[in-house]
Amino acid sequence: MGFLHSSRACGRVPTSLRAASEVRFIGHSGETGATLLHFEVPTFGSVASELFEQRLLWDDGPKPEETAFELFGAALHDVAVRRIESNRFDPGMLRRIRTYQRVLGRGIDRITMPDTVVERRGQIDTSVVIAASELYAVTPTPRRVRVTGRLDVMGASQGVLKLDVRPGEIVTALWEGEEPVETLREFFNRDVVVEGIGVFRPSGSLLRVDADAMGPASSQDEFFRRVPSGVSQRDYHKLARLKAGEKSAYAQLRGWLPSDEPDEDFDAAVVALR
Amino acid sequence: MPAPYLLDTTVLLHWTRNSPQAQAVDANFQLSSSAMRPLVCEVSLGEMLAFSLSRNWGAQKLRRLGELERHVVVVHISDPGVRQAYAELSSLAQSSGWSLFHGKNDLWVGAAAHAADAHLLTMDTDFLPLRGRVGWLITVLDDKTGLPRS
Repeated sequence: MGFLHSSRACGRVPTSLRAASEVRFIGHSGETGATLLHFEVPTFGSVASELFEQRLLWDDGPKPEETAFELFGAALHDVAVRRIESNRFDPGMLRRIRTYQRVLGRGIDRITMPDTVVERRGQIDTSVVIAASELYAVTPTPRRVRVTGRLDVMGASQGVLKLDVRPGEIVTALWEGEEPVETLREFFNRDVVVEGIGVFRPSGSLLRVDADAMGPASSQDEFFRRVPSGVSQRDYHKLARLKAGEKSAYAQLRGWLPSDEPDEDFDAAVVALR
Repeated sequence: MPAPYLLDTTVLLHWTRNSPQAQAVDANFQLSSSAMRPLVCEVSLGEMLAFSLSRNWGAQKLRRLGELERHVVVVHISDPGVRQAYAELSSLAQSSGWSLFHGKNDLWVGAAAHAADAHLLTMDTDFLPLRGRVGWLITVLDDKTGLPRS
């Protein structure tokens, strides 16, 4: 996610990126009330130094001394504070964070990463899962988009493209076309029109385009010289819907707060509340 | 797919206690077999907490109250749609001389249900004038029996 703006790698993943995400479980130890799982994970700089030789494609991208855990922690932190303009998560990652609900329902209170740097430390707990669900529900559905702009940056190893749409307006695209990204070389620094699936942030702003077509821009493509946006709306019906196989929330909540007090006393207290 | 229910504070209190009223509500609305999660206005969570303090709930019950949020969808009053619905409902209630206008928490709960396009289940008779109004889906329940008021 940190390198591609996408939590789902498409096509051949560069060896360096694969190495950077290689997390090895090396053992566990116990503490009172907590279990420590030990992992070995390389820093990005040690296995993917070429990614840092050029200026990073993202201003808030990973740093050479960081690891996949720091990146994940920072994404979790953004989710927890409901940062709707974040570049650190996408709808796919939000969906996966939601699945931790199952683990948390089985006696685990939270999962933390104590060895990561404090300012980028995230954790998985119920509030993060709820935040992920809410952010996912308000994130506009990806849709097909067309954008015209000057092909300003090409990151060959990552398949990342940057389009200069207008002064100060930049669109990031991941090349997912059938031909290798190298075949787009002829378009470099020229006005092009790009087509693909627009993926949006919870705010409705464009996170990236999963591009599958590119060609020289004509005067008719000027209409598309703007950054597409999604329609952000909180869909409560979607939020309320149970997933297949999920237990009835009503059934679980019925009697959730039992009480020994007589019905008459309870009824009177409820009436007094109004 | 039918609209999800938004439970007013009193209904949520009865439901989580599994009181006789909750059983009547379930018999009428088949909530236990619903494929939807309940919606709850953020204000109701505050009212539930206030109720817990006034009833001197113990630590374990307070912890469970805190965990309740995991099973419901909270409709936050910071949602622009809710704020707009609040303004419209407040204005309507005031100009119509309804007692609902004076219950500010009730206005937020009503606004949350409206903005979420949900079916409001309440025991508050202040909501009676809204029943059957276009754009509103409200059932006012009897607080003694849990049955819908006629």
